Amino acid sequence: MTQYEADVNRLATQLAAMVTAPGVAATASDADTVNRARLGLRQWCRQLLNDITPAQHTHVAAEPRLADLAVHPVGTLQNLLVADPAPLRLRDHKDTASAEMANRDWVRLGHEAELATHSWATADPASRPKGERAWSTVADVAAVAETTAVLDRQLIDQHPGNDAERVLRDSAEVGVAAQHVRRIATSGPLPPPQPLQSAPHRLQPIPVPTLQHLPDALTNLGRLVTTAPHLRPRAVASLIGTHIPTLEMLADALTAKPPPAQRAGRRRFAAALRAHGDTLSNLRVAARPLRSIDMDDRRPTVQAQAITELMTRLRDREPWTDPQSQQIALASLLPALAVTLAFAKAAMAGVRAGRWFEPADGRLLRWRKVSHEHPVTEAVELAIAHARGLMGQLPRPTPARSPFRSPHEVLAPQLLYTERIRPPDPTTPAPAL
Amino acid sequence: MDIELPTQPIPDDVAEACAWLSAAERYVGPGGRLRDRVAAGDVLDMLLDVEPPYPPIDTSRPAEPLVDVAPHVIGALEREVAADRQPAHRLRVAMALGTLRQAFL
Repeated sequence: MTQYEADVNRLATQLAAMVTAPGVAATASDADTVNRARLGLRQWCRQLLNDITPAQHTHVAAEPRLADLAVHPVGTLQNLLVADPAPLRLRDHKDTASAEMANRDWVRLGHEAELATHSWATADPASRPKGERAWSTVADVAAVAETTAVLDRQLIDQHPGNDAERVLRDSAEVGVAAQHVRRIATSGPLPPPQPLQSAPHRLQPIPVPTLQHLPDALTNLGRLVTTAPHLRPRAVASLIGTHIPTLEMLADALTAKPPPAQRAGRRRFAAALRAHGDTLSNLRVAARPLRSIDMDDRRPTVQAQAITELMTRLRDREPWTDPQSQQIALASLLPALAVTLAFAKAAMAGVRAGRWFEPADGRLLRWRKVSHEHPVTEAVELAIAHARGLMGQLPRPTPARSPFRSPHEVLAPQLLYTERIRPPDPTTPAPAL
Repeated sequence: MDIELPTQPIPDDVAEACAWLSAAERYVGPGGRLRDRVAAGDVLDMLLDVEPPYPPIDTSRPAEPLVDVAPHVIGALEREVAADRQPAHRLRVAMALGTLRQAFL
C-alpha cells in the first residue's frame, strides 16, 4: 500500500458520493471552491495521462477534437484535457444548510484531488505503470474525467447561465472521449498496477518496533542502499557488519522449528545463508583499506541500526518457533538477500564513478582511484552470484492485493448512469433514455 | 590521477591490535565462526573511526581465528587505554575492548 493508492481511493470515494447525490453537490453556492475542485480534477487527469502516455498527444491535431476519437482515443482525451475547465458561474443562492454542505463537499473534493496529484507527482517516476499495466491507470483517468463531466452537467442543470453552453460543450466532449477510452481500457484484462514507490530522495528509514516490520525494513534498507547518492567504503563495510547477524538470525530461525518434510531442505539453506555471510564478510575485508572523500548518505546506516536494535532485543527471546515468526523469517529471506545486491551496487557505483580510492603503491598519503582489478570487484561479483543463487531457490512472493479499489472500480458506469442502464430482465420496462 | 589524503599517525598499540584483528577478520579455516569475523570487523571499525583517518593497517599477518588472536588484541588495547592519550581516544579504545570482550560472552 502506498500513499498514492490511499489518496486516489479517497478522491474516487468522494467523487462517487457527490455524483450519486446530485441534489446536494449541485446546490453549491461558492463558485471559487467549485471551480478550484474542477481544476484540481482536470490537473490530476492531465498529469497522469501525460506521465504514462507522453508521446500520444503529438499524434493528434488540436482540432477538430472529437473527430480523432476513433483513431487516437487516448491522445484525443489527452488533447481535450490540455485546457483548464472553463470557470462556472453559479446562481446566487442563499447560504442554506444544503448549500453549505455542498460547499464542504467541493472543498473536500478539491483537497483530495490536490493530494492525489501531489502524491503521484512526488513518487519515483521509474515506478509508474508501463506497458499493459498502464491501462489500469488509463481506465482510472477516464473514469474520473467521465464522472467530472457528469458532475458538470448536474451543476449546469442547477445553475443555467450565460456561460453554461460553453462549459457544457467542453465538459461533454471530455465526457464522451473519457467514456470511449474507459470502454477500450476495460475491454481487456486490467492487472493491478505495481504500487508507486517514493522518489529516492524522499525515502526515509522506517521504524522496526516488532518482528512483523522486519521484511519491510529489509526491503527499505535495500532501496536506501541502492538509491543512496554515495556511500563510502567504510559505510558499506559497516553496513555489511550489521547485516550479517541478521542473516545468521534468519538462518537460525529456518532451523528453529521446521516442518518435518522441510527439515533437510531448510538445514541446507540455512548453511548456505551462513556461507553467504562469509561471502559478505570477504567484501567487507576487501573494502576496508579503501577511502572516499565524498559525503556519505546516512539514511541506510540509520535503517540498519533500527534493524540491529530489533535483532538485539529478540536475540535472547527465541521468538522464531511460533508459526507467525516462521512466516516472517521466510518472508524476510528475499529482502535480506536483496540487500546484498544493494551493497554490491553501491560498491560498484563507487568504483565505476572513481569515487573510491585505494592506497597508491609505496607512497604514503597518495591515493588513486580503485582499479577494476582490485579485490573488491571480485568480492562484489562473488557476493552477487551467491545471493542470486540463493534467491533462485526461494519461491517468488505473490504480490499483495491492494486493500483499495481503483477509481475505475469505484466509479463504475452503473453508478454514473443508473437511469440509463437497460435492465437485465426484458420484462421490466426500460427507463426513458 | 592520484590524490593526497591527510592521515594521522596510528599509535603502535592500535596498529598492533588492528593487524591481529585483520588476521581474525580474514580467517575462514577450521573452527572459524562467522560471528567472530563480524566481531573482529566491528572492533576494527571502531578503532579506525577517526578523522583524519589512519594510514592503511597491516594486513600481511596470516589469518588466525579470533580466539587465538584475542589475547594479543586485548593486551595491546589495554596498554593503549592505560597510555597518556586524549580522553576521546581512550574512550573509543575502551569501547572497542568492551565489544571484543562481549563477543566472547
